[in-house]
Amino acid sequence: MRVLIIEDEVKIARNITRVLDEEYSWAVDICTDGEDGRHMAMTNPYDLIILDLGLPKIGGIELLKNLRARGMTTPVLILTARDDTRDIIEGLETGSDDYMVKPFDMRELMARCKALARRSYGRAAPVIEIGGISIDTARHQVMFRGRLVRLSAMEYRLLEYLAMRAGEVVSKADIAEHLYSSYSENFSNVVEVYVCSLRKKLGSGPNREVIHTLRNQGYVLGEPPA
Amino acid sequence: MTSLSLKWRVSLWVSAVLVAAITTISIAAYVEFEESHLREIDRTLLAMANGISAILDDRQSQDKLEKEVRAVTAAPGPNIPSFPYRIWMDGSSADLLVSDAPDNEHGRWLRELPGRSSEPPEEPAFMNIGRPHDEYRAIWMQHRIDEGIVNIVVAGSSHFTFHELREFLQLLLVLGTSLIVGSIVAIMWTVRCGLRPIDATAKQLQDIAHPNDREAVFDKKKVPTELRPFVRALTDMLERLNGVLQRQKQFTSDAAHELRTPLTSAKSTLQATQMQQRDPDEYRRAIDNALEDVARMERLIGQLLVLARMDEVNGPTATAEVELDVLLGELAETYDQRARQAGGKVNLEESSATTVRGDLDELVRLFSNILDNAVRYGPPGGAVRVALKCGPDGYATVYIRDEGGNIPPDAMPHLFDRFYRVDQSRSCSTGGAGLGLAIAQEIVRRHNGDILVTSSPDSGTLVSIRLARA
Repeated sequence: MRVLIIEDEVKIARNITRVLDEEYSWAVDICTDGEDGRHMAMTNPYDLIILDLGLPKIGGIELLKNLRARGMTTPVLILTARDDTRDIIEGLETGSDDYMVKPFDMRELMARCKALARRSYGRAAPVIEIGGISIDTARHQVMFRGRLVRLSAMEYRLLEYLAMRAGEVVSKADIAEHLYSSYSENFSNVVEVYVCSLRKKLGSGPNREVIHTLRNQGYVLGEPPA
Repeated sequence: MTSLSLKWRVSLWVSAVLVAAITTISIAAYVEFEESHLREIDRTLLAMANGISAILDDRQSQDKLEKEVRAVTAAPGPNIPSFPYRIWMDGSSADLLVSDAPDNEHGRWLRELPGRSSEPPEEPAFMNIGRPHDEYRAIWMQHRIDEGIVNIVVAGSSHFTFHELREFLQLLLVLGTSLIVGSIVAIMWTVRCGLRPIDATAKQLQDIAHPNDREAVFDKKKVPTELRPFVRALTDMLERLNGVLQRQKQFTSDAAHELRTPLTSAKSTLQATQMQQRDPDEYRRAIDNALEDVARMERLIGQLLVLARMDEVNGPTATAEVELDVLLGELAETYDQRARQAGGKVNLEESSATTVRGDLDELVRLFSNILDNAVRYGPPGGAVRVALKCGPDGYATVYIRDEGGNIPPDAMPHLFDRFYRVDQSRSCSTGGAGLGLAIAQEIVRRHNGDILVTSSPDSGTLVSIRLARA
């Protein structure tokens, strides 16, 4: 999952980034003003945007209006010190999906982020089951045929993303865009390495592949489309 | 004692005026009624007395005289008593002619009558005699004949007149009283109706729970013309109060926002650190980070308290003679040390012994805020120049100039607004909450001074503060 935080209070943004990276191994980008935020949101495929309202250059509400007018469907969570009911209603009616008031609880924010990301892929249940693999997105636990499988942060990140889009062909570039922030170096061959190690850990054999490779197209978790 | 309600006061006044008017009219009518009736009788009596005088002038014999007099004083109709009379020579007690016997009741009155007035009348005199329910009107006149002066008294029953007068009085009393009572009721009702719009307006006012309600509540058609200025004044007042309320609300909301930001920052730092086992260095960094936020909150709370206290009292809390030159010298040195860490400097270029009257703590805060801004927002390594000049008008002006001059023109009108920041991003490096200049302006205002900020890229930012010298 890849998240954009648009927040002018750098410390708060850094703390959220740290937690999302450490706990969820999500890729996070930070913008400290509305103008940068709009540019980043328009040029990268984010799974979630955390948006402050009192932003320099372009205000949060204005920015959100702008993004929605351009047809962007990424979930937006407003994180602001404005606690007036009218502000909350305005935020939600402008197109945000959730609203949190500062000071917030970090765990609650994480849980909400997770729920929003899950929903954006049309998934209601936190546990995804595909071909004998059970992925608990809340606990970050992966079970394969009743056995707990230990995955590295990057392996889990990849598996979760593929699981969210199970049954779809996901290109390598797509994976790279959703798993790395703008600041991390990404090489598409690294994706292959992680796919390879995932296959090993999920005990796939020649006849029962969990992650299918479609040449020149990408990967599919579960049954590939006909 | 609570004052009577307007309704009662108006009713009482109108009723009092009405009672006085009705009473006056009744008394006048009664008197006029009485006089007109008596005039009637008096005319008859005078005619009879004159007739008797004429008879006396033309007198031939006692018999004929008596007969003629009796004819003159005869009753004008049946069931009406004839007019008693008495005629006698002046100075003699013997009657020349009399209608009633001396022991008769009427005769006694006729005889007693002259005794009532010591001097015999030159003009015919009229008087009331008799007793209640048997009243008589009498004329007493003197007439000169050859033998001397003759006294003539003729009396006529005025019983009927007095009877009518009594009835008229009764009528007046009954009519007047019911008129008064009826009028008072009518007045009360009218006043009540007249005052109903006030009640209605008051009710409308009562319904105002929020300054924004006033538009909805005041239906212009329902407010009577007389009350419109009052209602307009009231709405204007609400408008002003609403403005104050809005500013207060904005201030509270800004203050909450400003306090929440460092709190959120500290909380998120601590929670993020708490989530995993960290090494001591990371804990130390987290503590430093959180303490930075706490310091920011502390500073902000301090500033808010200063503003709140200054809002409470109007003038400076303590007035003492403050040596402005000494104060500026010390502050310039303090900020010079701070500026030197970044390669800049603060220099007191011009100064002379000057005292102003005011609060030392507030003046220190005022110049600290301005110097702090100059060092903080001026270009790194720039020089801040301070000058204290005394004008001939009894004022001292402090000039604090930095080399910045980058305040945009559209920001100038808002510089003294609470929580206004020229640079809207809250970067931690400059980190003010936008209260410094607001506090400075408040302090200057409390010292009856002026503060002015000009900024241009050529000459830098100049803050001039004018204070009255002691």
